[in-house]
Amino acid sequence: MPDHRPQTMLDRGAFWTPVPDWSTATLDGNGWSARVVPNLHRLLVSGNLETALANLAPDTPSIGLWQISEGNIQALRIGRDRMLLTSVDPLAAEPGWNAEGYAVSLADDAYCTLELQGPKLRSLLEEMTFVDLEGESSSAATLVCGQLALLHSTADKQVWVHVETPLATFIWHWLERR
Amino acid sequence: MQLFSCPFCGPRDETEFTFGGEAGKIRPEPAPEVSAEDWSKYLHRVGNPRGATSEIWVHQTCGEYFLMERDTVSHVVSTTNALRKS
Ligand SMILES: [Zn+2]
Repeated sequence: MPDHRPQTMLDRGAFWTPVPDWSTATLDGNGWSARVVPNLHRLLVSGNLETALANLAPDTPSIGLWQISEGNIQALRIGRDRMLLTSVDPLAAEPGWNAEGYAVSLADDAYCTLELQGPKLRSLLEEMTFVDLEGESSSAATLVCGQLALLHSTADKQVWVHVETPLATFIWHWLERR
Repeated sequence: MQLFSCPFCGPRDETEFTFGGEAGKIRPEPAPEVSAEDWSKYLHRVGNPRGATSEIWVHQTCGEYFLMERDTVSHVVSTTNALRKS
């Protein structure tokens, strides 16, 4: 009699969308390209943002939607009392509650940052989000490919899209299939 | 697509917002003394007015809860106001 019992446990490894190797992944579309910004340090800050910013990254402007953030530190405004700080070098911060009225969480790997650029960036973005880029919104948070993301510029025809790490795979595959 | 105005972010597409409930409902307290009928009334009975209404909405992308005055017939939003002072 044939043995119909499975020889191994069900392999669910192939069920999930494969995650690209972010250290080498690049995409070249028609008039745009994409890559992941490597090795950024990240802090999530809640509470008194003015004081937090003065302590953690003095003279760094709060960046809203589509605004240009240049330099090695980005203070990306999520909401009225919440922001994501990204930096090339780690910022000197004690995780936890600060008596001056704000809380800091280490978020180095919690987010992934996609860099998109090129002459046809604008028409790509118009497919990725409904938001009015010229709306001068104080918050960089919006929906990108239907997912919660922070969207801002870093130079002319170049944007960074910060998403929670697991969502980066989804957005990457969205871009691959565009 | 309709635009709603978040008190913090400004005008955004309706898809970024979620209805949070009818404004002005006060949770009955203290819980152990609230009858099943009063809980039911608090949880399930809504005014559902035709015309002007006050509602709590949430802007999902920034996390802001706010008060929205709108018209359920014309869909015109008259005001949106932050729920906190600062
Ligand atoms: Zn908002």
